[in-house]
Amino acid sequence: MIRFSNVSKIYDNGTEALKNVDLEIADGEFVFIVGSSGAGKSTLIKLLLREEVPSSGTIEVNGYTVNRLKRRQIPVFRRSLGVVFQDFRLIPTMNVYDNVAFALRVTNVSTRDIRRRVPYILSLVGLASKARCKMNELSGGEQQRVALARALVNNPKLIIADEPTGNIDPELSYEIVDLLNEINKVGTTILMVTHEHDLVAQFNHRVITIDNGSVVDDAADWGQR
Amino acid sequence: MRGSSFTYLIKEGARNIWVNRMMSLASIGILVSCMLLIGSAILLSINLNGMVGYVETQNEMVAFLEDSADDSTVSLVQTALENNENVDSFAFVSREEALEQYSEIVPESLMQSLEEDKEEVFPLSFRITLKDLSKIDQTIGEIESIPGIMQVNAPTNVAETVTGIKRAVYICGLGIVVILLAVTLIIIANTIKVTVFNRRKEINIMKFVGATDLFIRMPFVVEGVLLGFVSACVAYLLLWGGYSYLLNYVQEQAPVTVASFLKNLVPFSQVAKQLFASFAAGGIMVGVFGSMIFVRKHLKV
Repeated sequence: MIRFSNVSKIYDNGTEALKNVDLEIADGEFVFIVGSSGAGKSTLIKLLLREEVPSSGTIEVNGYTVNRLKRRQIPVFRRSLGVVFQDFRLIPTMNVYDNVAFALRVTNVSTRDIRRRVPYILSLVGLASKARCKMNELSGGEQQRVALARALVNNPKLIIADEPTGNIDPELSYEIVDLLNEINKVGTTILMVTHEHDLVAQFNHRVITIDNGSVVDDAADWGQR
Repeated sequence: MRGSSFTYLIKEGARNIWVNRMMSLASIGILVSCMLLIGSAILLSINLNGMVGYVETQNEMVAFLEDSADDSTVSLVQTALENNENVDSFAFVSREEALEQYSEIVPESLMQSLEEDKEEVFPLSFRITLKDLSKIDQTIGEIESIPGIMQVNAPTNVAETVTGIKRAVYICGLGIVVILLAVTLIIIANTIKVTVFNRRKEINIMKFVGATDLFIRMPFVVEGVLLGFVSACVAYLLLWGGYSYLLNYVQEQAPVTVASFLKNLVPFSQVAKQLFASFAAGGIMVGVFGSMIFVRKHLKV
């Protein structure tokens, strides 16, 4: 579960990125967060990942009070999440298999379990045959699927996708969101930030709209409007 | 940490060297150059010190015994010289030996003018070499105070000059090595900084998948150790080859007059172990601490 209680974020330069945000996302939900550029979406993600701390308010994610985490607790907290970024953030010097296995290695999983789990996840995202490929041999859509596989491999309760379709073709974008949709069906909470309203409209999920640092709309029937 | 994770991190460090081979080569090149410069400066300093030390040992002083000195006086002086800490070596010169040596440098006509029992003219003496010429005045005083010693003749001016040169060589050598060390550290720090900066995205990704700081640092540290060690080996071999060649060349080409002087040049084998240990320790330490310090900056995510 994600809970933002009266969260504000003011950067050192005085920019007020989020203003008194109250938000609750239950386990198993699929939520889109939409908003124009500069609305505060990225700050929201940074706070969720504990890349930034709020100026005031409390953030709870997966049972952790994120703003009170000590430095040494941050890695453990992040392992409870799966994160997908717009720019994929894959390690270019590693192949597909190693990029996915890396998320398991940091959690001290045995080599035997890694050998069992990674091929399974790669087959889920349709990349079993490309396990030995380097990142520069893959298309944008394929790279995003590798990122998704890496996010999934630890079996997280929550997947945060920050503009995951921002760098890929529209037809592939649908495929990625559809894949997230399938993952959501087995109980994983999905929080996807996007500015592609057309894409959001194709799925019948809750949509939270942020504008100028505040939540201005929170609708379960956004697609029908 | 599991054994398999540890092995993985070691392998990752080694793999990173190959994956970032151009940067690794550049780092090795810079490390080797710096080690060669420092090693050459150290060898130069050791040799100059050795040469000045040789000049030092060639400086003799002569202690003349009183005319009345007998065998017991000689053995008394001998014991006193043996007990003096600054006396490196000494040799007793009898009246006959003194006459013989004198006759080699004095024209024969002058020798003939001396009366019979010529050797009685020459007093018994000891030729003495010192360990540390800078203490020559103190040692002269000590020897003069030995009962039976009449007079001590010592090249005090030469001693002062040699001591001054020795001190200058030591200070200059130390200064050059310190300056080179400082320059080396700045260059290496920048090289590591650039290497880590090139991989900041990689570090960032590791942080977001939940890697601990130790897990991120380990491959960089392994990389630092390996690059430092390889550089130390390369620098050592190059310095060995270069120095040995130069030493042979100088000793073969040198005129006979300075040959005995050049015999005092230090062979590489004499300093090899210490030099390699310093290179390896220095290279590894710079690699490890440099990686740890500069990776730290990118861990604050």
